[in-house]
Amino acid sequence: MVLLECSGIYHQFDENQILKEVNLSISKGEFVSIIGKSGSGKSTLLDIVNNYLPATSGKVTIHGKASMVFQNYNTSLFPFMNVLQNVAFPFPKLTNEIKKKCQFYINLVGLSKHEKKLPKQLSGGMQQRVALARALAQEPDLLLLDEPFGSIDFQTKNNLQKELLILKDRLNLTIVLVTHNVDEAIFLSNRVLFLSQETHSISNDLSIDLLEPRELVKTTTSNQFNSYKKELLGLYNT
Amino acid sequence: MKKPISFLRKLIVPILIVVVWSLFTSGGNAPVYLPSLLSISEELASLIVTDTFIDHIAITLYRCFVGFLIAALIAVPVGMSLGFYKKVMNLFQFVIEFLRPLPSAAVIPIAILFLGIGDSMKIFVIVFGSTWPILINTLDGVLGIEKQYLKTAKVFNVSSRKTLLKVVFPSILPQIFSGFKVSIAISLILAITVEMIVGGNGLGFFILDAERSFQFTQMYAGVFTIGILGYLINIVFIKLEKWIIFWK
Repeated sequence: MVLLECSGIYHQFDENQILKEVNLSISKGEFVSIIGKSGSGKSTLLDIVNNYLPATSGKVTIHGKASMVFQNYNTSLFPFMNVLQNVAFPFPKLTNEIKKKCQFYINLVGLSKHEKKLPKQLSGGMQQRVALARALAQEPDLLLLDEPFGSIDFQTKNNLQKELLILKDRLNLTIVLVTHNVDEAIFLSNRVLFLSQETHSISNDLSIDLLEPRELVKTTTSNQFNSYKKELLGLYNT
Repeated sequence: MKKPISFLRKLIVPILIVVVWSLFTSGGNAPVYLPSLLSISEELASLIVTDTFIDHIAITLYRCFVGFLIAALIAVPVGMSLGFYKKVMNLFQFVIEFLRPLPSAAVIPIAILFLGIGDSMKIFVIVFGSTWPILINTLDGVLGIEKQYLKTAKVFNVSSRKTLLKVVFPSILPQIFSGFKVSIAISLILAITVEMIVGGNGLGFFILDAERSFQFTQMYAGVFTIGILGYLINIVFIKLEKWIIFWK
């Protein structure tokens, strides 16, 4: 079942063509990463999918509900709201039912003891978990992640990635991840799309078939992983 | 150990002022219009227990706070609207830029013509002068708001009303408070100024009246009272700021 479909997406900002004829189809249960050089329009594409930016032309269809985790956890969380208030922010009212739902997802990301803390009292990784809980509390069919591990230390990043894969299976999520990190894209995804800065469209669509369950050392040192990596890194040099 | 040293450092300048003042006022050649600090303190201690002086203080503070409150109630929503809606900004920009640099004292004659010499005129002048720092700070706050906050609200389909009240307003509270701190000082200054010009009652009137009747010690006691009030108001606002903007 197709969950997200983008057909003929064009986006122009002033005189600059950002996206040109982007076509994309993502099925339920997939974990798709979008990679590309800086300025290739990865985040713009995600913003269009998420209805934050209008496409100059083209059509985005989402069969279900989408939710998002942003790149900068320190600015996407509100510093004047505690963890629970941040997670509940998208809901119109904080009823008991909503509160319980938010607490469930806060618990799910391992922050049950921190719901009354302010973002400044949490580490970077914990703040990103709050952002993840906020997105998950929307109970989305499609989870959009815009470089969520960009500014997190190595160890925390690995833990979060592992947890994300577990949550994906547990909650039956479909995930689209925008990242500049090729290793991360291969390790997490079933498909990696390369957004070309030259053509402003998706120039490569690579299926990733790695041994499951994926484990950091075992997976990332496998021949298959390295062969995917080589292929994708080659795209950066063209 | 650091705290006592920094506290002592803060005392150096006040002690120097006391020493220099005492040097000028000791001996028989001190000018009559410069009484000693001791006599001013004694005067203040005797004044502070009189109903008349308390009334002067109370009326000045009343004008200062009512003027400040009205200014805040006008400036915060107007500043937010100007920052949020470009069309409103375009509509009012010229009027604001014209009125903002006007010295508040310049509007006193106009205010007297329209409102007489009662409290409403005095409060109007205070409101006029105190509105601008809050308005400009609020406007700057809205224009400089972290764009990601607004993006988050939009992406999660949060209503404009909720965005304004739950995101924009708390986000710009630090700027609003900076405006408050400037405005409350301006309110006190203008309350005194208007009382000096128009008379009637209040600390401004008390000081000018004392000066005109050659009661210089009393005059200084009045001036010192204003200084103490300004200092205390500032402390209250700093505490309030820390309490309200708890996330900073």
